[in-house]
Amino acid sequence: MTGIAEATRIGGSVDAHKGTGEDMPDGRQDSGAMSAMLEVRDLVVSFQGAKKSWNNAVEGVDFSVRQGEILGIVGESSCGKSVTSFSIMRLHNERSTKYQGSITFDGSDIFSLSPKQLRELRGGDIGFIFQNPMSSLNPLMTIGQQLRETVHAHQTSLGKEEVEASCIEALEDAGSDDPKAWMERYPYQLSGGMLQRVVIGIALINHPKLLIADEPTTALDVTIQMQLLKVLRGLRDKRGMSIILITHDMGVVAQMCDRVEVMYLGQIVESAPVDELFAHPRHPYTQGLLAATPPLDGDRPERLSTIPGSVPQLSEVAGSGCRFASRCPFVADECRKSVIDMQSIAERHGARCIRLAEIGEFRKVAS
Amino acid sequence: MTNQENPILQVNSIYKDFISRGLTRKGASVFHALQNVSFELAGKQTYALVGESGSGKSTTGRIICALEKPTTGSIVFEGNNYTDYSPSLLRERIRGNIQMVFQDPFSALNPRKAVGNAIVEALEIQKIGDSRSDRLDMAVDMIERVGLSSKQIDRFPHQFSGGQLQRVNIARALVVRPKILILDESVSALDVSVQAQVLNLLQDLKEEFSLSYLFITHDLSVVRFIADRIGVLRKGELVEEGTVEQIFGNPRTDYTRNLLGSIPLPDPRRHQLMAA
Ligand SMILES: Nc1ncnc2c1ncn2[C@@H]1O[C@H](COP(=O)(O)OP(=O)(O)OP(=O)(O)O)[C@@H](O)[C@H]1O
Ligand SMILES: Nc1ncnc2c1ncn2[C@@H]1O[C@H](COP(=O)(O)OP(=O)(O)O)[C@@H](O)[C@H]1O
Ligand code: SF4
Ligand SMILES: [Mg+2]
Ligand SMILES: [Mg+2]
Repeated sequence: MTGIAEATRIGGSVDAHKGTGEDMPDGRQDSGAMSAMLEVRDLVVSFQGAKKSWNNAVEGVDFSVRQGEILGIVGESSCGKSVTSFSIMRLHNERSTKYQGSITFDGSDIFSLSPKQLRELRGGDIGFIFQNPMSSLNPLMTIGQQLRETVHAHQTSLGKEEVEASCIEALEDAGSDDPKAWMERYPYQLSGGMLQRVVIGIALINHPKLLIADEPTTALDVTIQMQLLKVLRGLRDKRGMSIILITHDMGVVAQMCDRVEVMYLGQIVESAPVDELFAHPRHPYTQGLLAATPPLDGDRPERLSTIPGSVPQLSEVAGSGCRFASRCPFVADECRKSVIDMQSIAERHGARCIRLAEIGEFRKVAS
Repeated sequence: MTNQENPILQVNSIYKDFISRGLTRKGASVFHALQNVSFELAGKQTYALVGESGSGKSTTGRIICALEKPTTGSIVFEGNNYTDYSPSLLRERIRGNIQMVFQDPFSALNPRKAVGNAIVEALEIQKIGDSRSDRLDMAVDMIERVGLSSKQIDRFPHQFSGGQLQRVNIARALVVRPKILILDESVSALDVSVQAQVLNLLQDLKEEFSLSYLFITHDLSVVRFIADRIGVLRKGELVEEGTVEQIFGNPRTDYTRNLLGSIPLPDPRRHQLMAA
């Protein structure tokens, strides 16, 4: 308890008020559709389980990404980050997946695209980087062959020299110091950090408007991670590309993102601009995540503050009420009674918790 | 840090060469995985080994755990050089005293064995306990001590979460009452909230059982929390060593400075990514 209170000591005034019903459900009244590159509205993704039952993995996810914006999606494993990011390009196997809600990318409705249009989008206007670089590379083809193939799939009219030039440019943009040499090599001849740069290069080659990066640096050394984060930031600055960055590392979020969506058990539980989120985290889960991260400066604590228990299965907490109730230090009877909606806190800041005011009061007393 | 007592473990100038053949047609080539690595682990202390991937952290841990022999050099536990002990001598004098916990909590356990049996088996190997029920009691005690319930003792690994299973691995290592626990990236795969729970648990157990830890990790924020001393490995060489205060406050090599500077700070006001 004290740990959570401590993490939020810097939190500001107790200004929580319940949503009035007129606010946008997510508390982001000003994210106008005009500037949004991507809009995800009320996304529900369910997978077919045993005995033909359908289980929701993601429920009511709502966010948008503007042009040139880096949006972070953060949360512990199995909270639905990857399911959400795969849905944007409809990468789940559609025989066993049901989507509800809407996803609009650059004006087009993703759920009404034909398979051909989807193929054009993937690797074209939307680039994708996965956690494991080898999952998107062919071990039997040289890096050059794979880059060229991606160009040809989307830009059929280019001449040989133009293709070569854009391959080299993409690798350079991804931080390669010797693109020509890299293109002649096979994946096994490159290190993990180099492979991840190749994957970034392939994702960039057709100048996407949106790059989705799902834990792109989680498997890498901190030193290489830092280089790649600089590459990604630089690309946003240089090309005005939008980026969705999925991570479970609060440090990566703080350094990279403009806005953050915190996910817990298939829902977004807090949404805020990055400065606001770190200065005034309001949802008990966000507060817990920040407090559990060992500090890099100041006193060394004797103990770390923790969130009790671990992420339950969605089926264990099904039914109405707050998904976080089983681990929340502030839980009260009312939390389990009805569906908890996003409550608006400030401009573009919302949290899915009905006790924000009481938690604020508690912090006042505790500090 | 002044430590009057003798160190519990001494690593003296170890070298480890791996001979690789194949890939290149030129024939065998020698890879120097460790070169002249020396350090001491003081009793009831935590020594953290850090460094980039491939720097030799796990190789050092495996040599200390006697899972591998160094090419040259020696390792001394409580005054006894066990570098060249036979397997039976190792079992008798070292295995019960030096235990190891790995990164992936799942791969360390037999999926077809209930976790209670896995813990009982560790006791049998060390010939601890007089009867099966005696050992089962010890297993239950230890399971509870690491924050699990005795009811979970009949469960199989797939019925646990990663964090719970890492607790099982810690219980299995500690049930034989070792003096040294080697933790090789043991909390790296865990979510932060669970990682914090396991780190707190490790701190408690260290007190309770008077343990010394060799903590291998690439996560420097965890090191700052848990370690007393830090050794920095770079391409098989120990390039720097000191207390947490020394390494974090006054790193002497560019390599260490770069490692420290590469940790993304969880504070958006402190920009690290501006320089290209
Ligand atoms: N059995 C082996 N045969 C050949 N080379 C090996 C063997 N074991 C380790 N190496 C090499 O020794 C070096 C050190 O490996 P080690 O596993 O100790 O690294 P590490 O510091 O633990 O890295 P990581 O952070 O990736 O776990 C690496 O270059 C590795 O490829
Ligand atoms: N193809 C699938 N079929 C069924 N369940 C899935 C599938 N993919 C993911 N899930 C489930 O959805 C939840 C969210 O997973 P995921 O998005 O991968 O989490 P993360 O936040 O770690 O990326 C998990 O409970 C996972 O088991
Ligand atoms: S609604 Fe209740 S249980 Fe959920 S986060 Fe808020 S206080 Fe905790
Ligand atoms: Mg994922
Ligand atoms: Mg290792």
